[in-house]
Amino acid sequence: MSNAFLEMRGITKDFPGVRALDDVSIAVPRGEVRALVGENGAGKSTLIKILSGAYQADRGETWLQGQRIEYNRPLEALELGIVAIYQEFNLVPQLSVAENIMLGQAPRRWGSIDSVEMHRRAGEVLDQLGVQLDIHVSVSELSVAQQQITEIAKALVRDLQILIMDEPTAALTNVEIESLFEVIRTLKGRGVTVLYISHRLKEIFAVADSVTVLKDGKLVDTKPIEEVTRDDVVRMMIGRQLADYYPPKDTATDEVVLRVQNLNWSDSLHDVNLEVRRGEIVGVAGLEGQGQRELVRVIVGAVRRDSGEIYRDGQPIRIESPFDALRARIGFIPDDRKAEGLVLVRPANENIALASLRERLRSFLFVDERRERSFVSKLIEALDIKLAGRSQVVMNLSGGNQQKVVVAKWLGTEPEVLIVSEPTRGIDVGSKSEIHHIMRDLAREGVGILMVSSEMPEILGMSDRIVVMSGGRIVAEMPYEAATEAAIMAAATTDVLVEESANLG
Amino acid sequence: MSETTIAAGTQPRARPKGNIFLRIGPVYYALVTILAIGTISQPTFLTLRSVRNILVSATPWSIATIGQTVVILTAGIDLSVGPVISMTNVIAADLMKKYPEQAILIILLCLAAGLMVGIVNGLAVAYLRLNPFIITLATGTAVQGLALEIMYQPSGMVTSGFRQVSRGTLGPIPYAVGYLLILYLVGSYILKRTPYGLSIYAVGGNETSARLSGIRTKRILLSVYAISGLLATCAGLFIASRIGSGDPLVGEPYALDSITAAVLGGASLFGGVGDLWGGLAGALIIAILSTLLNMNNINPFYQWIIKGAILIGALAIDFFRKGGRQ
Amino acid sequence: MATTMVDAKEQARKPEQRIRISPSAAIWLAVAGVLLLARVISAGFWDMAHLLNVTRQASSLAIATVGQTFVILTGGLDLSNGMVITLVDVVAATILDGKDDLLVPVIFLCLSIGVLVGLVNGLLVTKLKVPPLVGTLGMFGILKGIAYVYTGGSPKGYIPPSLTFVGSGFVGPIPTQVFFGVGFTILGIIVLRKTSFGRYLYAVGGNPTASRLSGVRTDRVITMAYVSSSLLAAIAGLVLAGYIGVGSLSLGDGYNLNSISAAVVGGTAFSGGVGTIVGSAGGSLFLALVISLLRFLGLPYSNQLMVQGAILALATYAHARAQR
Repeated sequence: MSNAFLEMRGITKDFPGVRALDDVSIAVPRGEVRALVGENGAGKSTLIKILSGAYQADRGETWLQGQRIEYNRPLEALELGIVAIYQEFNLVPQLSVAENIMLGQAPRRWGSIDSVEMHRRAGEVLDQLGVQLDIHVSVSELSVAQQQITEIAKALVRDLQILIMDEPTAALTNVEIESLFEVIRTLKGRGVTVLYISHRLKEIFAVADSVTVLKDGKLVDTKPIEEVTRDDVVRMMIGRQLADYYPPKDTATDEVVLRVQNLNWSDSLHDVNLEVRRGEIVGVAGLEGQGQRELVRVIVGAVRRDSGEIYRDGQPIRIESPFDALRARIGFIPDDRKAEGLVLVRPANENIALASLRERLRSFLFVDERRERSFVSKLIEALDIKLAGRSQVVMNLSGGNQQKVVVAKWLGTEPEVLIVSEPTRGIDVGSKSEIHHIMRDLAREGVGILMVSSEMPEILGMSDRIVVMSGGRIVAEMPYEAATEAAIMAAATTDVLVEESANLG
Repeated sequence: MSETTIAAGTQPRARPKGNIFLRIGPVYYALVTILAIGTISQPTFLTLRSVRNILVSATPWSIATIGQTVVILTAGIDLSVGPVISMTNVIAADLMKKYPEQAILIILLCLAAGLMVGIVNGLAVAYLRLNPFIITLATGTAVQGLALEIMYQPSGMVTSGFRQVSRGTLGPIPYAVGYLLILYLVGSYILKRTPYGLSIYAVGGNETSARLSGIRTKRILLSVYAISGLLATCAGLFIASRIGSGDPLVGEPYALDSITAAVLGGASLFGGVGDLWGGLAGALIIAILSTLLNMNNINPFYQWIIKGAILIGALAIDFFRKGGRQ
Repeated sequence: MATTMVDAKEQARKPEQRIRISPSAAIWLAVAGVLLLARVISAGFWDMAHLLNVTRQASSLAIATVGQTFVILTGGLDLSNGMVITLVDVVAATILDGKDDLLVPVIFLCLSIGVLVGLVNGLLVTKLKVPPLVGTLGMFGILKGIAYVYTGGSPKGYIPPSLTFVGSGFVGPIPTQVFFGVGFTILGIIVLRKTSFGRYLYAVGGNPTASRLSGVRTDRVITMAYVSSSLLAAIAGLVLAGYIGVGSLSLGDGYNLNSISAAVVGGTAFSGGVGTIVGSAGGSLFLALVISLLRFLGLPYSNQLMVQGAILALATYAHARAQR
């Protein structure tokens, strides 16, 4: 029995090696906008994926309008009126906006699609969102922000009971964010319940009625928004001593090992200047999508910059492919290890050896297997990677071990510069700490590390120096002694949340 | 999730923007070019008789191309098209010779046979999730064997009434043109204006999204292969009517040629992009090419080279049109 | 009741509990199976002369399949290799015309043709982003045209004794072809397992993005795969030329699809990154045995095709099931 409109009770979910949710319970009244906050890995994504049917809870129940509901697939959740919008879009790029919005719902007239009606309804929904969009254009032509709007419109077209949004404003401008809030208020008026995950506390205080805070898979508390302040929420989210967990910062030197100057790339990087010194860990902070990813990709050669110079040890170098970067002894640990860091169908030893084959592990054209074996063993031992055998296929490893394989691969190349993007995303607490120590040990050996992270504690805990990016530029730089979360957030939000700011795009 | 992330501007356009000249697919320019070349080199090229012949000879290619295009739209491929055409041809010729009174029944039998092959393909791809290339290769091989089993050497004869199917005319216009128009108009309508057609594009463009929007993706996949099989049968029947007898190897070039025509016409092998009219233009180009070479007494063997070069060229042009590097 | 059902589900999910045979081993078991079946059905099949002839068929197919396997490992496929075989045959027959005088230059020429075709295929796929199916298909057409134009539709000339020795001769009791087949198969195994190129093939096919970001020059690797395929096809072409002794415009027919079938049946996955030469060699032998058995049983070509098709379908299904 349940009185609340939506209730999730005692939800527990395990993944190999980590308990993502531990006996979490929330109750949301109808028509309420509930914010869900917590650090990365706190369990927010997992909880909403369970609610939307993408995952199944190991234990616990979900109740809707007093009825216990069970479903195994997102499609079944859709039928119950539960729609989730994630950061990865669920659109068909080749179809038009209108077609995507009405996908599966296209109005018919005598067997064929009533094109006029379809476009009318699509236009109607977009009007409600207060957005101008050419509904005839194919979705692949749209900007990321516009695609997101389409995704939201698509959810709105259905008989919506519960709308779940995961970081919906990451790529929206001020004006669009306000429109989104307007729409959320309209939905509220119609009795739709909204679950809203966001890192941006300012937004939450602007639109939510109540907030649930998760930490390390457990429920901290749920409170009406009027009863808490931003600091209260932050304290609930973080609430631990940083000093206990992070290795000491005693390795920075003065020797500049990497410098980029006047880097420009398409719309995403404007005039970026940056230096990394030997033994130093430079943390790149900022809201999502402000150019951090692009900066990384330009430095490692995954994309070609439009203009600007890159210097290694004071010498200008040409980087036009990851091969060039590797030769310049720049290593790269990507944020999406499954798509960009690992060959999942191959075993661990092959993955670890991949970047070093050409230089280290060859005699003529052949792989020197003996050298390779000891090479791989040493790295596995150094990083304490847990394998069921050296030839275990990487696909079956836990997130933490997978990340360690990626790190091992790059450690083996003996880099002098290491670019790391989200080093501990989706990894359990124990492995997180291990990787942090590994990074600091590397710095101690003289490697210069550029670390992009969206986790504030990681930025504050690991960096010798912090640069903040916003709108594709570096807007602030501070040594760790002067850095606080408030200062970083202030810098990170200067361009985005200022009233009447110039339109960013 | 590399499947669902879309980078703006990297996919071909559903309805391209830009002025009218940019919007027309390159295949139409190619068609016009080849017509121009034809007219210049041979004054008799554009006579009614010659145009009629071209259209009639292009008919089976064009019919097969519809089916292939629809399959390609779902990011699949159908290599059994050729063998099905052969099989249909020999069944029709063989049985009609033996039982000329049962022509209609025989036609229905052929349609059923081709449909069944398509259904087998569709089941394997949609429900068993087997690779379309391999599975249609397998069924194609088996069906080709069946065709040879029925008729080892060209033989058989169709009824004179049946011959009219491909030779008959309504005034100056051959029935064949009528078939093509009907098939293409109806097919295009279904593809572009019905939920079913939209679903086909959706499944090809992003199967997961399609499924999450409530589209019965497995059924759609099954249906497109069934359609391809059915249309291949129609092409085979047309050929039987045209040549008047059976030839177990007649369908051989059709699989690869229908793929060529569809791709020339702008269909993307990755799915979600393409339309029937482009495929028709592609099929016409191929048909005209053969005729042109004959008329100009050019060594027919050059056909192969030209076809191959056109295929590669079309895609290379497409690459440059999208702005080079992706 | 409920607990036992849950237990059963748990059982089904634990992969360590199921007996796992690698695809490479599976295909060789199938080879053994066919041989035994053949013995049972028709004792004459095991006649030494006959079996040796089958190994000949398998050898030339195996050579082409090694190259095809490389290409499929990178996630592509090569439809042009059959035409390379044909082209090499007619070129050799026409130029040499039964004499060994120009043997070495002609061999060099044929191998160069292979390399050139492979380079073009590779460039099409890597630089112009042409899908491999289309690119190699187009190349197939172009090569066919060239072959027909070159011979005017009726190939002339003969293959000289040195090559016929390779194609239909014996070394002791063993056909010379078999040495080539086994030799190149072993070469293929070594390349794939022991060289960095082999590792790169697996990596690029398994995840081209991750490979590229790890500093692998993916474009080069893919192009080399296509060059290998065409080069090996050229070699197979020379061997086969020696076998039939004349120029023939249909010599390479079916080798493209058959080499793909052999690779797939031997466990190479179309998606890339998975497969072995051992498996592909088994696949070649398996196909050759099956075709030969059907022929031996007096089944007409038509039935052979039907059975081949069915086997291909079943093998694909079996592999797909096993991977789940």
